[in-house]
Amino acid sequence: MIEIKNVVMRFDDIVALDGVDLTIPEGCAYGLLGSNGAGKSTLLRLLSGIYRPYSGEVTIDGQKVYNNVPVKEKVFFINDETAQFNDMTLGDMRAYYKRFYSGFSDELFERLQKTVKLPMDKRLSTFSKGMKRQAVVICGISCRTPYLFLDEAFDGLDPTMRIIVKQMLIDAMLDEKLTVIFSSHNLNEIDEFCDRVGLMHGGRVVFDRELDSVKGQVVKIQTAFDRAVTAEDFSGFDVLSIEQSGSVTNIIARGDRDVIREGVNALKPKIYDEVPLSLEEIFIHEMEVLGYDSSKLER
Amino acid sequence: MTAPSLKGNFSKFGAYYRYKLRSMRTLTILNSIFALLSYPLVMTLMIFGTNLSVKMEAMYEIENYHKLPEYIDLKASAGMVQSLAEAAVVICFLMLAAMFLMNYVFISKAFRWLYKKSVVDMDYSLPVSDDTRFFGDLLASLTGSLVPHLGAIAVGGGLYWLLPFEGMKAPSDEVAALFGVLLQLVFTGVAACVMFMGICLLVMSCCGRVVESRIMPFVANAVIPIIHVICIINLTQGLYGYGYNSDYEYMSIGTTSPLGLLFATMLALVNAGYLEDFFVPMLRPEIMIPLIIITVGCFVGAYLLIRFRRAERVGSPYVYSGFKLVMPSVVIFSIVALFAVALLPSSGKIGELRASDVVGPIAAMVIITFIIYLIMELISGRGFAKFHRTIGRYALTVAVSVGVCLMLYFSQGMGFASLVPDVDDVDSAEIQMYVLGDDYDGCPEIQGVEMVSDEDISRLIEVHESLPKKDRNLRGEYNFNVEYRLYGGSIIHREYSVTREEYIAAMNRILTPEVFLRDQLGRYIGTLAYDNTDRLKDYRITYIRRVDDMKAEIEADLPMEDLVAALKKDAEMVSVDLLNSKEYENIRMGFDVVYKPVSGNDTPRDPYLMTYIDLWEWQENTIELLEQNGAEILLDY
Repeated sequence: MIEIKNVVMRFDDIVALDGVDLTIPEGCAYGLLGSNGAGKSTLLRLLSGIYRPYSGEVTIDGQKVYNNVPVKEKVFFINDETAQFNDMTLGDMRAYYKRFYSGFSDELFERLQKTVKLPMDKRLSTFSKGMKRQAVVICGISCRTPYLFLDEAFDGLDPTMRIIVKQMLIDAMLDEKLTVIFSSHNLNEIDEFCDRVGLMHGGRVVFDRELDSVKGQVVKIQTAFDRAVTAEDFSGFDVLSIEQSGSVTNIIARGDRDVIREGVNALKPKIYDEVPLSLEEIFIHEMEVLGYDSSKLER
Repeated sequence: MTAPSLKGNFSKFGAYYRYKLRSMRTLTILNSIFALLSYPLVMTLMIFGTNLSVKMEAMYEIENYHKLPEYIDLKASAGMVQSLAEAAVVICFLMLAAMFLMNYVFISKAFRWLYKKSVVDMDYSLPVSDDTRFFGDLLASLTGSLVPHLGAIAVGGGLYWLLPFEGMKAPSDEVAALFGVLLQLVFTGVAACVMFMGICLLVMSCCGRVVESRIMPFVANAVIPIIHVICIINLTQGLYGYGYNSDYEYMSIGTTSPLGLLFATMLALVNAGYLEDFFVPMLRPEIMIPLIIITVGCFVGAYLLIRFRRAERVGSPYVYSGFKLVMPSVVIFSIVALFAVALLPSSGKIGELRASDVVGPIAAMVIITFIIYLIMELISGRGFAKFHRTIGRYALTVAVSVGVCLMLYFSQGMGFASLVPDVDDVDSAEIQMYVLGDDYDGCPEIQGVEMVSDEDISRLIEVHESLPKKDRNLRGEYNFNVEYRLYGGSIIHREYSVTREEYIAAMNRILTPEVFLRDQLGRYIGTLAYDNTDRLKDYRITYIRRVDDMKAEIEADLPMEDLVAALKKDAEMVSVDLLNSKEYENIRMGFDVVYKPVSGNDTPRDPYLMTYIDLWEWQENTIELLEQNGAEILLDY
């Protein structure tokens, strides 16, 4: 289990994390969302033992992470950098990680390497971006650590490569009892990959919930009224947005579905239709509530 | 949770160390090539060259040796070896310079996680402790750098033992001198490399960018000796009374930076001139101990800085905010201090300065320091986003530098320049006696008259304290130049300008017959002559020879106490006027007096029991005694 208690992280006069509290259970696929500069990467680096927190506590399985070798052996961190391995071949990377991770599986490594057909003896500087990312993921999975952290690891990959890498991760999660934290701007990937999500903004965790719970609490309704309606016309639930498109009124609301249904029907709409809402739409509206410009999120 | 144990801290040390060594394999091979082209190459050619020279010298006694075919062949071979040796020396120096620079390369590659953001995640996320990372990288760097270096030294030494070396037949003291020089140079080379690595690592531990890590270590290594030299110039030129002391200054320069160590070693060897004995000027405790402390201190400082630092700048792994003040401040101070030395009058009278004299230099100082400060800000990546803060920091740095210089100036180095030691602290003192101006034409001079007795030192200190202090740059004045050697090894050197009359009066007070004769006899016999007179009868003079003709040596059987008695009688006449008298022009000559303890048996001649006596024509009693014993006293030297 990962526990983050009141963690503050400062860089000079910039507060990257401002009192973060978070608990991530074992075996969870956790999606870390947030705008640029929200603190996602900083949080993952704290969890990987790269940074030492300014204050607060970061523990994995009850032990502090920073400079703790037994705990760090349980963690593998994949970031969005690829240049760091440019001088190495895949064979070198295998030897490199095998030295330090006692659970490294040669069998698993070879199976994955054959699956994606990456050359063992060519330098990574000759690989494409996608191939480099595959190489790191192969190493990460082969280390068989119980915790795997990915920081925007799929950025810049083409759709085919994304599918391949995602499948590798999904297979690994099914085979081993992995706890994965997945940081991304791509909400569709979070949607299909994770079972719990956390939203960060301004160095804080805005919310941290099961994904189904998040989706279940927000609903989009397509209606039509005789007159124009506003949020004040509804009570008992939160109206996140009202959009008028011709005669159709699109309402996004958060709350109990029965209460929402009752509240809308009380105004006698001509049509009433509940439309599935994507995670992306949910979070765009959540961020707008926080005052963040939604155009900055990847669509 | 238990505290991490030592074993836990170094649990993967072996694996990490081997990985780092492997990653630096190419550099190590390159360094090994440099090393093999240094000492072994020179040693091989030196041995062959010496062998040829010895063989050639052995033929000199043969009549018309230069026409012999064997000699001609030897000469041709010697010429070729000489040519190769000259090239080898150049190659050796280049290779040693390359090996020196390789220390930076090793450290920057091993510790790239200090300044290169792209590899921080890769290195820091590994399941190794901070101690394993630091010491593993350090040990790998030292291995890659020093093993080839020491290996080359061993190969060179091995060649000496394996190859036939005719040079062993040369006088043993010359061979000893040669190997002293080699040992000194080898030690300096290795110590300079390790210290260079330490300083580079210390500076790199404060760098947050690649460009900083490339430039700042070299700036630091250059600035340290420059600061030293500037401080010495400041003291000797800016503080009236503080005298240059080569031993102290080159010791301080030689122990605080690798360039300083190289410079101090070469200076010491050059100053020593022709060596007749094993001489290793830097291999003594007062050099070695500070050198080791400072070198180790650099590594310890780097360890502590890395161990306890926090991320202070987004985009840089870890960097100390304070570093942006340290390096620029040191550089700015060194430039401001130079200008201070040039501008501030040594008379201490600021009022003498005219505006027209100082406006230009001050403007130049401001422009130069400001440009350099901006360049350092750019290197550090701080740019001009908060330019007003940059201006503020710059102004503060210059103001503090000027303040420090003025404080040292007005306080005369906080009283340091006028310090007169206590007689109880002084082991010995040496006063320099110079030629006294135009009235004395081409007169001889005594230099470095040494005093060891408390009475003489006390009298010297009284004279020193009574001297008026004036601007020593005034023309036509004379120098009162004294050096005190304290118990514990430190040295205080003072110089003051005095008038001719003051100088003569001071010297006459100092230069008693005993002071003169103790200096003339040297410390050992001087002590016998005045402090242990009972033991004089135990010594006899068995050989007398002239310094200018080592072969003109005569046997003698002269009691030491007779010679000392004659010298004492002559010494009663001594005065400053006498020593500089025109009447005794060109009369100096020297004698080696070899003596041995009287044991009743024939005792082999002991070359260490010799003394050199610099005689004057007016020492008539001594000259008469030596002539009676068969010595040839020549007035033309």
